[in-house]
Amino acid sequence: MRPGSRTVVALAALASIAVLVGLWFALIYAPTERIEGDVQRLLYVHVPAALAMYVAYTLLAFASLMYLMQRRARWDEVAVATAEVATLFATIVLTTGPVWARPVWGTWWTWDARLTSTLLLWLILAAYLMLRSYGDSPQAAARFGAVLALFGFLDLPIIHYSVRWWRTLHPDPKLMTEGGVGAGLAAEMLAALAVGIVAAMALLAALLALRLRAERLERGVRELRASVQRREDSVS
Amino acid sequence: MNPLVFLFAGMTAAWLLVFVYLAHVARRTARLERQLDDALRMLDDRRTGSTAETVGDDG
Repeated sequence: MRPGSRTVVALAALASIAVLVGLWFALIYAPTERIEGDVQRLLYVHVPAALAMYVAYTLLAFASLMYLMQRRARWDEVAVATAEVATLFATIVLTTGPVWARPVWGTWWTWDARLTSTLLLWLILAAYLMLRSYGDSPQAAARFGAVLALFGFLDLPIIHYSVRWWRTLHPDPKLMTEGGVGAGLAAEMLAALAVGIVAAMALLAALLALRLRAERLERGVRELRASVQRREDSVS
Repeated sequence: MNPLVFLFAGMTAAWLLVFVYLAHVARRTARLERQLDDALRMLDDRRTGSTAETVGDDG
């Protein structure tokens, strides 16, 4: 087994178990919501995915800041890996949201503050990934990417507080409410949501480890090729 | 429409996204591992070749 494979396999196994347990809690254990019906069970995927998106983007911003301060390749590897995983979770949020909204609000999409600011974050992530893949100079792309990621970080509090700052169709937070943690949910629903969050975090960790390993392999291949080239140049 | 259809659609979309991404990263990792092996083999060949050349020159 190559170095790093063991960690990835262990995290993937843990994430698989957590996801299966999370699905059981979401689809079987949690009671059916009185007004919205079964479609409300999307909460147990939508909210954990949103939290995973926040965590992944915070990691991206931290790694970008560290890269700008220290210029170490390791921070840039973390930034690229977290950006991709954050995009995945943002896409899940922006997919499950409209599917849930259609039967409840009567529309797939509305340009309200929460939805628009989340879409903006997704666009910032897409711009980041495009910048990283099309940049001619890897160092310049890493630097500009880090600045863009830090700029995008300003959108996180806007997403989170948008439902309080503006009048939106999107409901208030279910987890962190003014009445306390999870005060807006029944005990079984809160338990299912908590398990869903643990599963999303386990999945985030496994995907990050897998993607980080690929990023390090890519850097290894690049350095090895450069070393072969240098050897050939010195021989000729 | 039955709310179960929306639940099924939402769940399917979410997990499909995860599996497509997993398959993409797994394929990329496998390709990189192959490339790393090739590069290591190439480096090894060059090293062996240059050693043989040096020995040949001496002999």
